[in-house]
Amino acid sequence: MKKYFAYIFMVLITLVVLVSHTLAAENSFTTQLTVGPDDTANPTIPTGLTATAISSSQINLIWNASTDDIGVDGYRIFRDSAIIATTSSLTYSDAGLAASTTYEYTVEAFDATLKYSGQSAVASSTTFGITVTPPDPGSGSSGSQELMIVGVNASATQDSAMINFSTNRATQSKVYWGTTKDYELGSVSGLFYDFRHSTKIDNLNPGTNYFFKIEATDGIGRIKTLEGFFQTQSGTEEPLLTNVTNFKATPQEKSIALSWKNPSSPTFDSVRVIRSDRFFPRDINDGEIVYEGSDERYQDVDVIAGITYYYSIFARDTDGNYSSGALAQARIKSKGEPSKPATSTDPFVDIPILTNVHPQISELKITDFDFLQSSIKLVNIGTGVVIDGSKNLTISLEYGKVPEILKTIAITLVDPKDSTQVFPFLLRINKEKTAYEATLAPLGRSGTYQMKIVILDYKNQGLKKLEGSLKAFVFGQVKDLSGNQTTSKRNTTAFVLLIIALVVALVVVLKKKRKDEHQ
Amino acid sequence: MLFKNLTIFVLIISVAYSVQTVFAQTMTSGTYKIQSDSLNFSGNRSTSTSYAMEDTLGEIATGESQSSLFKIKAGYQQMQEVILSMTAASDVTLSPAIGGVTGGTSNGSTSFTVTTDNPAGYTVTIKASSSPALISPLDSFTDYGAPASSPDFSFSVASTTSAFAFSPEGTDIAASFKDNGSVCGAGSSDASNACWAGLSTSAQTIVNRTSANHTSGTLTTVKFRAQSGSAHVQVAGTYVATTTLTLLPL
Repeated sequence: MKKYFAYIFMVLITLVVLVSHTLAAENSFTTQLTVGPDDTANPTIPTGLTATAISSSQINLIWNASTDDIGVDGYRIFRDSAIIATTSSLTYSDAGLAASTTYEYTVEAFDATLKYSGQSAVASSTTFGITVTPPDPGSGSSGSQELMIVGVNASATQDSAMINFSTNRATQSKVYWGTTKDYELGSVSGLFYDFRHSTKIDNLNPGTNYFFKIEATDGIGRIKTLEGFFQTQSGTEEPLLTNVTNFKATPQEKSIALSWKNPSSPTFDSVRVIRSDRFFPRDINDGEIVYEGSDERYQDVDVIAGITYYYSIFARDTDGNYSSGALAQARIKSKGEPSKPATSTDPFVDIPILTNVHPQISELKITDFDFLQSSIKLVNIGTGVVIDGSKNLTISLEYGKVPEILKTIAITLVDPKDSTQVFPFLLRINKEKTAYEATLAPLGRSGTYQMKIVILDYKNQGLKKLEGSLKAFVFGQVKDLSGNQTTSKRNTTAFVLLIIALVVALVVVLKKKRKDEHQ
Repeated sequence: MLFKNLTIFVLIISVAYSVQTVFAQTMTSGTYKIQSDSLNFSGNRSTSTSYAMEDTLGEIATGESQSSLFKIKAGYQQMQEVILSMTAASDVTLSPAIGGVTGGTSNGSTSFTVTTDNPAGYTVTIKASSSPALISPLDSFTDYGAPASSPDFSFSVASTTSAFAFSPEGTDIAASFKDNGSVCGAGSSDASNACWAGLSTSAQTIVNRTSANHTSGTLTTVKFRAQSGSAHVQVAGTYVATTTLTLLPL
C-alpha cells in the first residue's frame, strides 16, 4: 500500500514539474475569403453627374450609383480627361482650382476585379471670380448690372450645416434644402436685404447627402438662384464612452450594496445610478436617481424588504454623453423568508420566452448584430465572435432592424470561470439614431464568454432571446494557459508546490524509517 | 529500499527542475546550458576540466531598478526571469474575391513579432481550428498538400479542385520552410511567395530560434493563398479559417 502511495506521489511530482514548464502564448486570428458570383459584367456607367462651383477654388461633384454583378468598388474622377482621384463615395470635392476657370468632369465606376464602366457624360462648372465688389445699393444705377451669387461655402457637422454666400447687390435670401432636388425638407428666409448671408440648417442626419438651393431677390424683384450640395459628417467617428464593469447589487440586511468599476477612459467624468421597482431603467431619466458621482460603490439604504430593485448605471463623459448602461438587480428577503442557494445573477434567466413579439424582432439573428473593435467590424458568422480581449468592444444593432416600439435590448456576458456571474448591459439608441449600441471595456482575460441577447417587446408583451459566444484573446503578452498571468515569469506557484511536495515526501519517508527502526 | 528510491527520485527531480528553470546558459556543453551559475556562500572562481564557475558571497544593492531607458536586475539570480512576448496577428481578408465558377487566386497576409531574452530561444507553431481549415457553411477549400507532407516550393492547384495554403516568411522560419531557390527544406534562403503548406488541426512549427533577440524582436509574416481552379465550382459564400499561433520557449 505504502509502495503504491510512493509511486503515486512520484507521478504527482513529475506532473507538477511538467506543468511548471508549460508556458505558452496563444494568438488566434481569422482568415476570410469571399467566393462570390462570377464577375461577368462591367459596372453600369454612372449617371446624373452634377458639377457645382462653390467658391473661387472648389467645385463639388455628385452622381448616381452604378450597379455591378459583384458590386461596385469605387469611382475614378476625371478632370479635363485626366484622372484626379478615386473614391468609394458618390460625391467628390475638387479643391485647389484656379478662379474663373471652367472645368469638365467625368466619373467611371470599377469593381473588385477592376472592370471599368466607361466614363459618364461630361459635367462642367466654372469657379467663381476672386473679388466681389458690391455696388452701392442706393446708387440707383443697379438695373444694368447682373445679379450674382458668389463665395458660396457650405460646411456641415454631424447634424447641422452652415451655408454662407455673398451677393453683388443687397438681396433678401432664401435657402431650400432636402435629400433630393425637390428640396423637400424645408427653407429659411432672411429678414433683411444684405450683401453677406449666412443660413444655419439644423436637425440633419449624419453621413447624409443634402441638396440646397439659394434664392436671392434684390430690391427691384430680380431673382438669382444657385444650387449645391453638402454631406454631413459620419456619426461613427466619435468613440463611444464605455460602460462601467463588474456592476453588482448585493442585498444586505437593511440595504443594498452597489459596486462597480469606472471606465479608464480619460474623458470619464462620473456615473449616474437610476433605480426602479418595475424593471431596468432604459435611460438616464427612466427612474429615480440614487447616486451621481465618481465613486465606485454606493449603499442604497432607502429600500424595503421583499421588493426587487432594478438598477441601471450610466457612465458620463466630460462632454455630458452617457454610456448605454449596465444593469444589476437585488432584493432583500422579507422577514421569515427562507434563504435560497445562490444562483445566476442573470436578471433575464427566469423570464420565459414569449414568442408573441413583433415580427421584425422575431426574425432577429445573432448575425444581425455588429461587433466592432477599433472601428473594424469583426467576423460574425453566428457561431462565435473572436475578439481582442485587450480592447473596447462595441456591439451594435442597426436602427432599422427593430420596430419603433417600446422595447429593451440587453446583452449579458457570462464569466467563463464562474457561470453564476453574469454582467448585463443595455443597448441604447445612439445620438445619431442610426443604431442601438453598447460599448464594453476590455474583457481583459482570455476565454469563451457565453453571450445572451434579449429583446423585450413591451407593446406585444413578448421576449426574444438569442445566444452566442465571444471568444476573447488577450494578445501581445505571454500568459499561462489558464490566462491568469500576463508576463512569462518563472512559474513560482508550481515551484512552491514542488517544494511543499518535497518536504511532505521527506516527512513521510522519515516517519516510515522511524517506524521500521521501531519494528 | 523505498527510502533509497524516493531519495534518488527527489534528487533527480530537484536537479532537473533547477537546470531547466533556475539557470540559463552562458556556458554550454553537449548536454546542458548554464546562463549564470552562482553559489551564495563563497566568492571564488572554480574550474575543472568540464566547467568554470563564479560564485559569490553576500551582495549589496540588489533588486530591480529602472528608468525610461534601462532596467537593472541586480543580485543573486535576479536575471533569471525570462520575457517572451508575441504581438497580435491581425485578421486577414483574402483579396480579391474569387468567382465561384470562373475561379481565381486570392492572397492575404498577417505578421507578428516575437521578442525574448530567453537565451535558449523560442518556437512558434500554427494550427487550424477545423479540418479543412477554410470553410463556409456549405463548402470548403482543401488544405493544400497531403497531411504532414513537406511544403511545396511553388503553389500549384489542379484546375478541377480548390486549395488553401500558408507560407511563413522571416529570418527565423523553421528549416522546413527555408529553400535553396527551388526546393523547400533545403538551403537557408527564404524566397518570397515560396514553400507553401496546408493548415492542419495539428500544430506545425513555422518559427524556430535558438537564441535571444531582445530588444528588437523578430518579425514573421504568414502569407495565405486560396485558389479555385477554372474547372472547379466553388459554392458562393464567406469562407473563414480560424488559426492559432502558439509561442513556446525552448
